[in-house]
Amino acid sequence: MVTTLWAGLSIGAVYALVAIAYNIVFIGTRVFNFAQAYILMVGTFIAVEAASRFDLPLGVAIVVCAVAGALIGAVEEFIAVRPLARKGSHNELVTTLGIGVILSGIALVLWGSEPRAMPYLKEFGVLDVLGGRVTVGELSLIVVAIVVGVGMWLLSTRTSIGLTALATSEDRDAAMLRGVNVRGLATGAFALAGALVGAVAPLVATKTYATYHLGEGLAVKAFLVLALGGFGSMLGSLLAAGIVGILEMFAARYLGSDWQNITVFVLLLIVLVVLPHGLFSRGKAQERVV
Amino acid sequence: MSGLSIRGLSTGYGQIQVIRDLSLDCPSGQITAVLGRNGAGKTTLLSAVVGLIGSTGTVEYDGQAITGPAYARARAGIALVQEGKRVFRARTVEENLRIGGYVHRRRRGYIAQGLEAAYARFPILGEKRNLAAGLLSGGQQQMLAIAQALMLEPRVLLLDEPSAGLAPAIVQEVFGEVARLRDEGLCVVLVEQLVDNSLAIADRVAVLDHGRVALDERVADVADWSIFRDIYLGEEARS
Amino acid sequence: MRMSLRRYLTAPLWIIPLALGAVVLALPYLGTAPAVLRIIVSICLLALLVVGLNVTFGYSGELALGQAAFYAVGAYLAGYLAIQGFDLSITVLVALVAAAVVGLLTGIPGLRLGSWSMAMVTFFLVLLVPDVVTLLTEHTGGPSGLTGIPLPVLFGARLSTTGYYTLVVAVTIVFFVVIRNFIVSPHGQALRVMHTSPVLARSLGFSVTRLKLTAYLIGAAPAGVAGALFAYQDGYISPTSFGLSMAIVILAATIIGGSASIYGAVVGAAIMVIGPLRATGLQQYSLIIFGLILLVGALFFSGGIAGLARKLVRRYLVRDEVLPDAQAAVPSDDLISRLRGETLEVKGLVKRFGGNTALNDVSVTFAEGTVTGLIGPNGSGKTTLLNVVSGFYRPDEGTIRLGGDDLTTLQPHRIARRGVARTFQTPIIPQGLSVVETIAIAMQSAHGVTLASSILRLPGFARTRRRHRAQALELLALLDIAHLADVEASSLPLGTRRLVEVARALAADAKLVLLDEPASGLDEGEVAELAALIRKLRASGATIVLVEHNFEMVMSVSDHVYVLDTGRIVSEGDPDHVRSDPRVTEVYLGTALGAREEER
Repeated sequence: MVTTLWAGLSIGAVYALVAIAYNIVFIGTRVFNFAQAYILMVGTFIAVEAASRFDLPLGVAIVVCAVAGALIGAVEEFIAVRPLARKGSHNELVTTLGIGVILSGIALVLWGSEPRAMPYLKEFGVLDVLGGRVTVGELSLIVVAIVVGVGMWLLSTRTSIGLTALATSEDRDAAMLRGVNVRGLATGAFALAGALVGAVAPLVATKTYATYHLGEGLAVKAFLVLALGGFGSMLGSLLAAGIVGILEMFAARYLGSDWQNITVFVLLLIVLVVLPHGLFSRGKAQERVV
Repeated sequence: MSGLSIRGLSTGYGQIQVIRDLSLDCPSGQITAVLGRNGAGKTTLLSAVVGLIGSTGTVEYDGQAITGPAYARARAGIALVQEGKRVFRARTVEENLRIGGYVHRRRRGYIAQGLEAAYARFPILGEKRNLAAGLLSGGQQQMLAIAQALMLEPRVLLLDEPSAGLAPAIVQEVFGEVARLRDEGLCVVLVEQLVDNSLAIADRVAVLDHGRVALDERVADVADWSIFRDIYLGEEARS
Repeated sequence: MRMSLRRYLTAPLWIIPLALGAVVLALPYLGTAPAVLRIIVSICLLALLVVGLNVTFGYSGELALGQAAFYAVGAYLAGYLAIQGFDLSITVLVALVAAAVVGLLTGIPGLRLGSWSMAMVTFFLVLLVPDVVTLLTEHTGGPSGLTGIPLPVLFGARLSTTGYYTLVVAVTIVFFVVIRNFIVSPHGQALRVMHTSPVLARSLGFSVTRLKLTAYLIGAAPAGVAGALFAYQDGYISPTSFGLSMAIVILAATIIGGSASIYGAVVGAAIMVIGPLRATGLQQYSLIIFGLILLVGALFFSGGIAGLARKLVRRYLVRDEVLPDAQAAVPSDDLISRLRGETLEVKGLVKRFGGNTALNDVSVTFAEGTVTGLIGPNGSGKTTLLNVVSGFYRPDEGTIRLGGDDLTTLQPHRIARRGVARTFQTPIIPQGLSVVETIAIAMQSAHGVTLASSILRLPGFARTRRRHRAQALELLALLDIAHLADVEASSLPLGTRRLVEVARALAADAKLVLLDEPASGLDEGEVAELAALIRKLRASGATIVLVEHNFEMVMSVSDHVYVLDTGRIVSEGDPDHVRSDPRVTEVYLGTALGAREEER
């Protein structure tokens, strides 16, 4: 029972981290980056390689993955998002999905279709916490997700750059008139989000392993977390991710593992119908329509 | 001359040219009122000067060319207060001001000083510093928009219809502030629909009609006021 | 040889694809190799999936990735039922119904927020396929697949390989005809309107949610049926045929062929089926290639192959021409009687935005058969009032009644159907429609052709379309632009587009026409023409509200004028009264200008 709770919270932590990365991009550019979870997937492979082939310590692996994630994010913004903004069309869904598929394809070619286990943190084994079994990797994920979520919330509401990003997502022109390099900010948001999912990839891989189709499942679950927690809300994402993770694990435990995704899907449908603006929304300000 | 100087500016949207070969001087320490009927090209002119839309011709301040995208022009000290009380409605008053000081965020103590100065200038904003800007009244939003622009430490302040949607008493208040800014030495360009209130504080007046300058003089030198009635109310109104 | 746009749009060009379809149908009898026929079957099945996605993505603008899931639902149900000994007619029908049910279950939540949520819900749906298949292993064979699906039996007769081929091709042709009929009908044009501007669609009386859901379900239907047919192809199905890679293949085919096209679906499907088959060495790179297609296609070739073809046809084959019925059109008495307006009464209206009161206790009456001018400086609340009356803003207080009916809480499309029509500051005219079509869309929501009649081309369809054309031509004749009837509307100059918008607003049996700054951007001659037109409409009994900055024009055509300032009515009366009202001069010029003039 408590073991299931830990499992739920730790998988929820993974969803939260992806959702927070979605949020960073969303706040900075108003774009939903389909490929975000795929960048995490690439990070898990790089982490496995770092550990098994180059024997790098965990800290170095984290830095390498973060740099790789930031690069992929920035390149994605440059080739898949920026050209569309200039044309005024809204095909980002297709182009970012395209980037995700390309990343999957590259992972398949480079690393094959077999899941690869993550050597880091193996030595600690399994702990008994509050009457439930949990690995150090899982505990670290939970802590990291909370720290990152609260940190990003502070960054976006307490610092100049974060405030400016929030303002830019509200009114691009007005932000530009106050000296904000909106394009630079967009690239920065993609890079930061990429760096975030890259940096946590070694930890995530201890739980999920590295496989080329890791991105898909994470993408949809993190989307559910966003829908439940409210688009753009960091703290909402944290809470929603906990709910989704726990629900998923309890469904798997008591209904069977085939019910895991179906339960979560039903939750998504219910959320979209009943709470289209998320659990914690205070109601959207009325926007000018014409 | 010290101030903003526009030479041979042409611009428009798509194939429609709104402004053709327009030249205008706006001296520092003065208010230049730019008047004209809706569609005369006033807002378009401002958008071109701040770089929100592309244009040909030159814009200079004190002989120094103002070029590049909008954010670079903002960093060069050109601040525009857009029409429609355009503040970041979801952010609080204080956050709006901080965003205004974004360019100077690395200057130690700058933001704190700027906030203090803004609250001293507009005490009501200090009282409502933690309120979402969208919840302010129209007049307060307009003041916040101006205060936000001032956080940029601008050399040129461009105001697009600051009176729009405000009650007369509030307009007086806002215009009083604008006059004070001029007295502090700022170069102010005031695009307005209210002829009377604008002329009351302006040093120079330019009238735009169909994208051209129909009149450009010191307010004290204007001899024939009928042009305003013609342009605003049409020929018939005079008879 | 070049033809008119109308002839191009109405020419029996469908004969060409239909003839091609007939040839493909006849291939087995022309001695074509079985391997080729097998490829054609695969192309047909994929084309069915792709054409469905084109309806939702290309025409309605929602990226729905769930085609692969509908395909799976159809295949498994048909496979299971076929093993139980059911006839193909039953299995296909069940697949169709099941696809519609799954479509409703996912479409209603997915379309609630649009775009991402639709894409994500349908993406998730595809990911669930293996889970559901495993869960129902008893009936589906689980991960190892469902075997032993018998050869198809149609109405009791066992189909040969040729029979199966013929069936697949015939079903494909039928679906293409149906979907083509849907897309070129007013229903399809309504989708195009919504894609251009949801606001316009609502103000013409269309419910955006309903349009999108209809498109989504029409897109799901061929996918379900394709699945049912696929089950018989090898007598074996497994979850690997319906996974995410299938969803990606479908989307890539859509992008290559051109998402906003019908026949592009076949081209895209053919490329996807034949391409990878030929390049077996590239199998392991297929994901990368598909991803590149999505990226490059969406960035640079948003029209796909079909878009390129259409551009060429338009450039070299189409010219403008005035057709005889347009030359002969005159406004009839019937038209004049339909223009008759009603009275709209607004009482005590208050609208606040946060701490800002945009409208403060506004009461106005737009009397039947008159022109009411609504003027005021920028920010005075004119546009807000317009948006409240047409339902885009919900008022905080007050009531709005049209001819005795309460409109206060109605949705915009309901208000539009009740007879409140409007134009926009910048005319919104969807691309690719002629002037007559642009106007006829407005008649669709209230007096349109039914979906069934559009798809099946029942006699009522042609009758209604003829009537709509005749009525649109009469309106154009009234506005003196009948000679432009068959020109592409979005390519006209601004002034003429304004007139087209006015005609469109009138076409929906409007009881009240709101004109939002119709004179802005017009030169003096055009303004005079517009004023003349407004007088003409009033003479026909229309109720017109004119929101304008052009003081002189308002004064010259209005019977009654309201002056708004900071959300309040500060003056009202006939034009002479308002013109001489010192409060109005004050609003516009201030009090001191008169004094200045006198000083000099």
